[in-house]
Amino acid sequence: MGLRSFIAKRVVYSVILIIAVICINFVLFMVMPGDPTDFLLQGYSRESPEQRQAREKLLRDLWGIGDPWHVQLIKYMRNLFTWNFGIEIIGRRPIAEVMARKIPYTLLVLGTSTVLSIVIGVLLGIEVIKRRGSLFDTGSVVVSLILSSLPTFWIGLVLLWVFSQYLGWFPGAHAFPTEWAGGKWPVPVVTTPAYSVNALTYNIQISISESWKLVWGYISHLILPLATLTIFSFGGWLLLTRASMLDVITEDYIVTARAKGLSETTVLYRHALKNAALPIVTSAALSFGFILSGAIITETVFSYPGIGGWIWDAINFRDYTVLMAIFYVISICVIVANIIADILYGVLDPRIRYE
Amino acid sequence: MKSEKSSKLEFNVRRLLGFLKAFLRSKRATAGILIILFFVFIAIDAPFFTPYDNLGVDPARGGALAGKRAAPVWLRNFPTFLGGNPYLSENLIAIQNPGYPVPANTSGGEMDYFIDPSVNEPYVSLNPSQNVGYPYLVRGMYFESQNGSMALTFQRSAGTSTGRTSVYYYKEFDYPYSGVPARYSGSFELLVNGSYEETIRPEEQWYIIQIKGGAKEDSVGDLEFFASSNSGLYIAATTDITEYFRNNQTCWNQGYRSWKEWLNGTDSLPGHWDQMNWVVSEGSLANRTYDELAGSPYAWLYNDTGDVPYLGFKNNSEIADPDLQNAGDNPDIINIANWTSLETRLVKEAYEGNTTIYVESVEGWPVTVFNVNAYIVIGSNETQELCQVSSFGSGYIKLKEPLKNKHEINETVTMVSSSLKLYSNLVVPKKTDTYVLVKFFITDPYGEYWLDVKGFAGASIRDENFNYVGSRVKLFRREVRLHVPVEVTVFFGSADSPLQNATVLFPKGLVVPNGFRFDVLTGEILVERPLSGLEENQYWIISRTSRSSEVSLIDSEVPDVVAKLFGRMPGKYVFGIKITFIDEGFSSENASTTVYVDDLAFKLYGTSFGIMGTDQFGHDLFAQLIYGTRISLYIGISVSVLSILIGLIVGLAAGYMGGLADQFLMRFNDLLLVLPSLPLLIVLVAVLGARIENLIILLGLLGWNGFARVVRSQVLSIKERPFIEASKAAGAGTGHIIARHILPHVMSLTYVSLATSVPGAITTEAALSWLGFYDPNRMSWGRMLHEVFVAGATRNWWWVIPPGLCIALVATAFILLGYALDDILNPKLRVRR
Repeated sequence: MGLRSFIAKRVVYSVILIIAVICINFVLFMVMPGDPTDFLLQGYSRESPEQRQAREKLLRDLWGIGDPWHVQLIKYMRNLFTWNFGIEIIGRRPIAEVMARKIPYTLLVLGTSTVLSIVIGVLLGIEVIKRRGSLFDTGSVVVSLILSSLPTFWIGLVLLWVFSQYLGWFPGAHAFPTEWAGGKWPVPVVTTPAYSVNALTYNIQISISESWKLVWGYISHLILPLATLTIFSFGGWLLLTRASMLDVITEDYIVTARAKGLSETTVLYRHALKNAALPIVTSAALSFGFILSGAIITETVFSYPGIGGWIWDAINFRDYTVLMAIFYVISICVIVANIIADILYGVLDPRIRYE
Repeated sequence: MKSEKSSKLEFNVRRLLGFLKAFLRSKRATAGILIILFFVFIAIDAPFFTPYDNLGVDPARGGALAGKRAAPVWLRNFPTFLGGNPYLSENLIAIQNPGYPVPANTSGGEMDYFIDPSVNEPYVSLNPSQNVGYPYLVRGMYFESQNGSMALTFQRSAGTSTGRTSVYYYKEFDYPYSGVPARYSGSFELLVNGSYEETIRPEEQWYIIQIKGGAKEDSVGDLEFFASSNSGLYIAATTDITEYFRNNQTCWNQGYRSWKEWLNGTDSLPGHWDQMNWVVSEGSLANRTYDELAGSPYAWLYNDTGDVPYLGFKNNSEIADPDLQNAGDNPDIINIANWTSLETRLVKEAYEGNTTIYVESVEGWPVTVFNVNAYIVIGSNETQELCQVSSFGSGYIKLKEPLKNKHEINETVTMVSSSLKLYSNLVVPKKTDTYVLVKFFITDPYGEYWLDVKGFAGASIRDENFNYVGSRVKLFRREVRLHVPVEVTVFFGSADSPLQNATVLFPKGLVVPNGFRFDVLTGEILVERPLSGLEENQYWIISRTSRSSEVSLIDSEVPDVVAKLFGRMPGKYVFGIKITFIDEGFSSENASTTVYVDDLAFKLYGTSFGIMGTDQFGHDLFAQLIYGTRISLYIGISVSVLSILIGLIVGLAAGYMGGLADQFLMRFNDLLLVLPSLPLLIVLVAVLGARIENLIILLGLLGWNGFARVVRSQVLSIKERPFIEASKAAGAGTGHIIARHILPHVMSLTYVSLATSVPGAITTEAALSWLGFYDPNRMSWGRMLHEVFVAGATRNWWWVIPPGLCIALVATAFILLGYALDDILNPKLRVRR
């Protein structure tokens, strides 16, 4: 079999999976009761029935809501494959553009936190292995367990309270300081969709010598969500590293390496970790795939303008064009990540590709 | 030689004991199971830990338990740098025995009672023994008062008025806290009874009848008034003022405050005015004038201009009405040709108590009644009775009430009508409104008159200020004044300088039409029907009290107001009412008024309560935490069992049977893996509703993924073992092999996964509740955190920390349990730690 045919098989399979996911997305949103036209027509409660029908018809023609399902399916597939996501129903902004502006924030928060938590988790895991059986071992296992079973929003709330309200070190909301947006940050109100009021770009006047202000502005707002997510996730990596290292530590070649006189660090990092890395690497690849979908709660706690907050608003207002687009993008990310994970698995462990 | 069964049993028991020993030896397992048992115990015995229900509410009373967002009680003693606050207050019931305020003199010993006012005032006497159980209203039903009322009577004989006399009922109480309360709330109940004077004056009343046009087409009908009265009602004038409205020249545009004022000010009235005289008269239906017929009990009508048609029954020869004479031609009038004379007679005897009488006209023709709300007069002079018709048929009439006398055959039955048709065939165009202005005179002060506008579905009656008064209006004329009305003021505050709070006059306006009811809490006069079952003279001025909820007369949650009254020191405070008898006027009468005071209560809600404080509604948080255990454990364990079960079945099937089933199931598995779980879950919950059962099913259906994969790989590796092949060779079927040979090997995995998938379920439920998708009837830990956000109480760490910690503890306990089980049951882990 060989690596190439393995990869080819996986890619083909993934394409089929993508198509299946698209169809499921489509069916899911078709079947859901509740029509965004209900929300849009809310303000027109005083009109006569004829006017209302005319308006509904207009909306349906515009959004193609009333077309027969196979027509909609074809249109849908064509649009998705050409990345033509259309317009938000409620906010009426072009979805692709909004997504392009929101993805960087989510990547900033979640990407950094994933990397950080992997690094911290793995390093700590190795330290724990060095001292296995000791109090440090048990202690860190317990702490990791507890931290990863705390709900994320609770951690976020506590951090918010301690650092933002009590100590006042870091700001507790949004991605950058309010002054940059002219001091008027539109506060999300329950009855109107928040994102329809946000501008997508702001012009900021900062001189070059003060460019650290720009950087610090972003970073200071990033710290708390980052901390929340990292605290929540590093425990999982620690436990995973510890478990897979434990499997490897008892192997004979480790004993040989130690007998050869190599330092503990070399033994652990060069020999043990390399072999134990397989599940860690594949989990890492998979979790990068889930970046876009995993941030709903943190972004809601900290009002961070990323994809998670957008999903939340879209669900509340039944804006299903947005939801379809996001689910599609997430699914593609996950599938691609899966492919990469499988490839990595195949690269790192030659036994797999010959099955 | 033991039997096979008992040796098998013995083996199993020993195996179980060995497992338990290993289990208890492991520290993690013991810790985990202890924590879980602790929470299970709390979940089962939740009512034992708290008297409140799962939303933190007192099930008997409802409402807030203390101030909103109150802190826990122990916070007062906490050091300040850790967040303690010495300025917290607790709930205090200032008046310990609400109800019967007994004066100080009459009881020996404790001075827990009110000051006896009668000592100082000559005209006022206190009658604590006059335990009047006055009726009160709960949703339309009357109940006797639970406690007695203290009767305070003001009495003076005819002579001079004595002016204002005040007495004080108050109580001193101790406020031991150094912080202000969150809210104060006080209430009492009053009944006022006294001597009164009635006045009667001719009443002239204006009404505007508004008829709304239909949406689709014109409506045509008769504008008809129905009066049920046995007294004199005189319709003075009526006119159609639709034009006036249409042209928008309403009286408001000209600066008048009401139609009456406007009409009095204009020389020429718009529209077509008709003088109608409609009186209720007695005897035969003769053409009587207003003066002659004033005060008579029967109704008839006539029209002296002859322009407007009418409906009625009268003696043809006495009215010159062109329409009536041409009855057959004119479609306006209901054809009364069947009546050759209005005198009909009984064809059968009618006895006392009968409700049906059988009639025929004098000529012998059967008689049909036209107007169901009509009255008939039966009999000759001594036995004459006026009866109201309830329904009719050909030849018989049913009465609303049974006859009081016996009537013989051939006694006369005369029809009297009490409805007045103002306009017949009035056309109301669609989508436009028609307005008719009517003026009424009432001649009889003791009668009851109701005006019903009939004939149009959308007709309503408005008063002269164009306020809607109904589609049926009662005109009443009797006015009653108390000789000595009463003013009640509530006061409270610190003992040396109490502040006066609310003052109410009983009755407001001092004149009570018809002498019926006024609201005890506001003094507002309630115009309602007289109460049945209540003796008319005893409580004719009566208070309305509502026992269905805690009704407060004085209530404030406004921090400034509360702070002003309480300051920050512990000290003595008073709460009381001041009752002032206003004796001005009516000096020539013997005047007396009695005020019954009952159920004085004054309660302070503290800013701290309970072990964990309260939420933004004033509900106990500790109870919510305790009951949240139930939900979390229920959901966690149910979801875990469900998803493990599904995963097991799928994994076994896919692993063992392989081939197409395997491919299909695994691809389905991939699909579920690829869809983003939290957004998908949110979408599904938003659509299907957040009930607990839905949640369990959804989480179970989305959670079998990982376990199925693991089971499948395990089965794949077991499948190749020789004993399976041997079993197949012996002829075992698929089911047998799976159940007896493969399943036991995956059981250890199953138990471990059962334990480790509980935390995921609990945390996901918490996340969903926090986002807002919770079952409104249940309170879970996630929902508590949601409420923190909703209430804006992120600073209240006593609210934020416990639910999260509980979630973490339960989750950790299950994971520990799972790991420990894994250690014990998984043979691979036993090698070389």
